[in-house]
This record gives sequence, C-alpha cells and structure tokens, in this order.
Amino acid sequence: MDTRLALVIDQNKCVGCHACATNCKAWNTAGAAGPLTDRDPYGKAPRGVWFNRVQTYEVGQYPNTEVHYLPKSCMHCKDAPCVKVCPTSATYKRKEDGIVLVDYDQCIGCKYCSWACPYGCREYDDYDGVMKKCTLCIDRIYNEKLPADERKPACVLACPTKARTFGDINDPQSEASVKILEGLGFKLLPEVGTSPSNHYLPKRKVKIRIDEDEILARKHVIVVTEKSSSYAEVIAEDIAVP
Amino acid sequence: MHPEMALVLLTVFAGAGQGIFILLFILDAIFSLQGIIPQGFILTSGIISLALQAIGVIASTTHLGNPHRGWRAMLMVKNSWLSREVITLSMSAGCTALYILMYWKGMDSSLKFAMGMLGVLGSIGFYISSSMVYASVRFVKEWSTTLTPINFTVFGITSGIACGLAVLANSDVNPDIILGVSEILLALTGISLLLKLLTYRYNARSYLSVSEKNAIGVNNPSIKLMDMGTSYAHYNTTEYYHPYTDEQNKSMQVTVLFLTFVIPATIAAIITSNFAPAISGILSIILAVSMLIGMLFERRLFFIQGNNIQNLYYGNFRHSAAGNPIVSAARKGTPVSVK
Repeated sequence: MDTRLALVIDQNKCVGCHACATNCKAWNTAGAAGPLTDRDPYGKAPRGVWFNRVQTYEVGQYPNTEVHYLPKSCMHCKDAPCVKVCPTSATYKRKEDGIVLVDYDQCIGCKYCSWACPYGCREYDDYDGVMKKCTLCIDRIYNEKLPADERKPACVLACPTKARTFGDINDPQSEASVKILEGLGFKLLPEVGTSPSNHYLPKRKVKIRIDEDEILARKHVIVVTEKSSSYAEVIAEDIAVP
Repeated sequence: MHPEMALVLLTVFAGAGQGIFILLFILDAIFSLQGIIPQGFILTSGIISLALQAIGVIASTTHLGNPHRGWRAMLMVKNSWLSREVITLSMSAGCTALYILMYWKGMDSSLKFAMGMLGVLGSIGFYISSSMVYASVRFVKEWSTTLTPINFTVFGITSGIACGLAVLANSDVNPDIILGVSEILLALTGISLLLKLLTYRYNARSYLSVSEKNAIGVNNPSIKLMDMGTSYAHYNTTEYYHPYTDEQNKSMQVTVLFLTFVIPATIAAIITSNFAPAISGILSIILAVSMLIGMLFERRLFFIQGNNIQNLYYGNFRHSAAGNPIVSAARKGTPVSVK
C-alpha cells in the first residue's frame, strides 16, 4: 500500500496557542515554499498568506458552553477535488506519499482550485499571483541534513502540548494510525467524499464512575468533578470511613 | 461568492458575441444565395461579435495572477472544464475572425462555411464548458445544477440575437427577416425568463445536508465562530463572501428579471406586432442595451448567490433551508415532530 502522510490532531490536547500556525509561517516563509507574502503586517488591516490557521468556536449555549479549537491546514485529500479542476496541472498529488502540492512555476493564479476545496485551505498570494497551501513541510521531512527527529512538519515540532502527530496513516503500526484507532479519529466533512488524509481526535467528556462500596473500601479517594467537557478538575478529598 | 467582475464580463460579453456570430452565420448560410443580406450587416455584426469576444478574452486575463502563463490553461483539456473553456473561446474567436476575413475578401464559400461551422461549434462548446466550470463545483449548491449550462447557453444565444437584431434593424434588410428574428428573440426571451424563474426557485428551495456540525466535527446545534485565526480578513473570508442581505438579493433578482427579460420581451413584442421601420431601429438598440446590462447584473447575481460550503468554517455560510423543515428544525436544535 502506498504511503499516505498526514497530520493527526488531538483536540483534547490543543489549547489554541497558535504556535503551530506561527512556526509554520516562520519556516515556510523562509523555506522552499516562501515567501508567504504579508501586506500591511503592522498596520490596521494586515493581510497575509498562512498555510495553517487555528480557528476558535464557541460550542453550546450559555451557560453550557465550551471553546473548541480547530487548527486547519490542507487535508491532502485522497480524492482531491483541487487536483482535478486545475487547468495547468500545477496542483498535483504525489503518488509516493500522497502529499498535494502546487508547482508555482506552472500556476496561472486562476483561483479555480480554491473554489473546489470544501475546507478553505488554499490561500491566494496576490503578490506572486499563485495559489499557495500547506506542503506538509516537504522540505523538512525529506531533508537529510536535519537530525532524524526533526524531519517533521514545523507545526508538529512547535506544538507545546504534543497535540499533533505526523505519520503514514496507511501503515497500521505508525503512531498516527494507532492514535486514530485508539482516539476514534475522524475526518472533517466526510460526507463530501474527498477522503481527507488529516484526522482529528475528538474532544471527549471525562467521567469516572465510583460506586459507593468503592468509597467505603478506601480511606482516600479521588473524586472527579466534571467542570467542562474537555478538562476534568481533579479534587482530592478525604472521605470519612465509617 | 464574491462577484468577480472579470468573470462576469467574460461570460456575458463572450457569450453575446458568440450569439451574434451564430445568428449572422445562420442568416448568411440561408440567404447568401438570394443576396438579400447586405454586406454591411455581416461585417458590422461580425466586428461587434469579435469585439465582444475580445473584451471577454481580455477580461479573463485580468482575472489571472500570472496572465503571461495563461496559455498553460489549455494543457489539461482531459480533466479541467477551465481548459476546455479557454480552448473553445480561442476556437470561436479565431473562427469568427477568419470567417469575417473570408467574407470580406469574397473567398471560397465552402471553406467559409466550414469555418463558420467550426465557429458555431466553438461557441456552443464555450457555452457548455464555461458553465460547467461553475456547475462542476459541487460545493456550491446554487451552481451545481443542470440549469447552469442550460442558462448559460440559452442566455448567450438570446443576448447575441438581441445584439444582432439591433444591427439588423438598422441595416437595409428585408423587414420579413427583421420580423422573423424578433419573433425568435421574443420566444427565446420567454424561455430565458422561465429558466431564470426556475433557477431562483431552485436556489430558494435548495438546502445543504451538512452544517457547521459536520464541518468541525462537533455534535452540537449551537456553534459560533469566535476567532477565524487572523486579526483581519484574508483570502478565504473575502473570496467567498458578499455583503448583501436577503432583501437586497431579492430586489436584485427583480432588477435582473426586468432589465434582462421583461423590458426586452416587451420591446420585441412591440416590434413584432406593429413593425415600423422608422422606430424599430432605435427600439432594437434599447432592447439590446437593456438585455446586455441585465445580463451583467444577472451574472453578477449568479456569483453572489453561490454559497460555497467552505463558508461554514468562517461563519459566512448563508443558511436559508426554506424548503426543508427537518434541516431548519435540526439547525435550531428544536425537536422535529413527524406527522
């Protein structure tokens, strides 16, 4: 089976710090995919090209709300609609690892590929006149000049909570595949039939059931009180044993 | 979607130019032996057709980020409708130019006829491929319908015939031909109006079976975007966004219907019922101008009404769901009673 490189993002761990996005911008604007043009970066209306953006949603209605972070970059879809519509074959999918790339020397800047992307993950660089997107840091992951443990996308290396995993999701033994399997990984918009490679591990509510006889059997127990769906506050209490 | 003026000009003007060419080719083919179609009409309408197609080509290059590489757009003809659009537009414009040149030089009629046929094929190909550029984007529900290629084809031919009639009515042509063309135009305008009303009905009733829940993978009916990941707008929040409200959308629909169909149909009916050579010339010019301006509004509104699914991520998706009570109820989070 062909290699299918992808990112697996654990939403239980993501704290929305944007480190992945800023490190992505820093690496790629200086690397082979750059520069990622910024217009008016220090002014009132800064506009620029980013490969990775962290979006924040409020889920639920007050008072039962929670914050939901969605770091989103190109999904490197198996059935990528952007590849099919490109009139110049500037957008292509690599057979060897499944990464979708844009050849800037062939792109005419017609923006048609971005219309065909249901995820909004392509960004037009109006300075270079070409469409740009996440390369899965292809200039890092195959770079033999880098130490082996640094041959990962910049976003993965930057994540302070280790919410991001990079690997071959067609290899059942890979860390990425195991996390998808164990963490009930899901894809965004599965209904649209693009079969994205990137997966997300859903937020899960943490609940522990403690039976009464279990309380009576121990002097000290840990009572887990659910404060929100994503984080459980742990309170240690002394339980008087009769 | 953001209404891109370059694409509006391309599809409307190139379509109308090709419609004029189809009309002049048919009239020339039918009446050339009788010699009742004056040279002035063929040359004038041919030059207008060529000029309109040239405006379309120039407008389309201004849309590109790298126009100097525009020729590359012809490379993926087996995959991309955009490639087919570029090839068919080049074909129709080239054939129109050669046809007019051959006519002017009085060259061999069979070769001229073959060139004309190729031009007509290129024009029909352009109508279909330029509309399929939009209809094949399945993430824009309002575009991804059979009505899109039908509309582009019928509207292109209709607006072309309207422009052709304006030239015809101001030429020294047999009034029967002007009457015949205006009758055809009246019928086509009626069909166009019907198609447009069907399209607006389709748009009002269409709904998306996915929502923000599927987009971000959270099973909760209340999802609100707090931060789109940037401090200011960016490509994905401007390319797919328009600022118009539903009320403005409806009033624009009425404007389109009047300018593009009702006024031209009324004028065509006046020309048909009470043909008077003295006023038919000026009336047909008003008809053509009204229809072309209306078509520009129509195509602009076509872009505005396109609602790309990726707007779900940026809080810009316009939920209408008027036609589906289950979807609208599910969106509000209220239980659905099935009777």
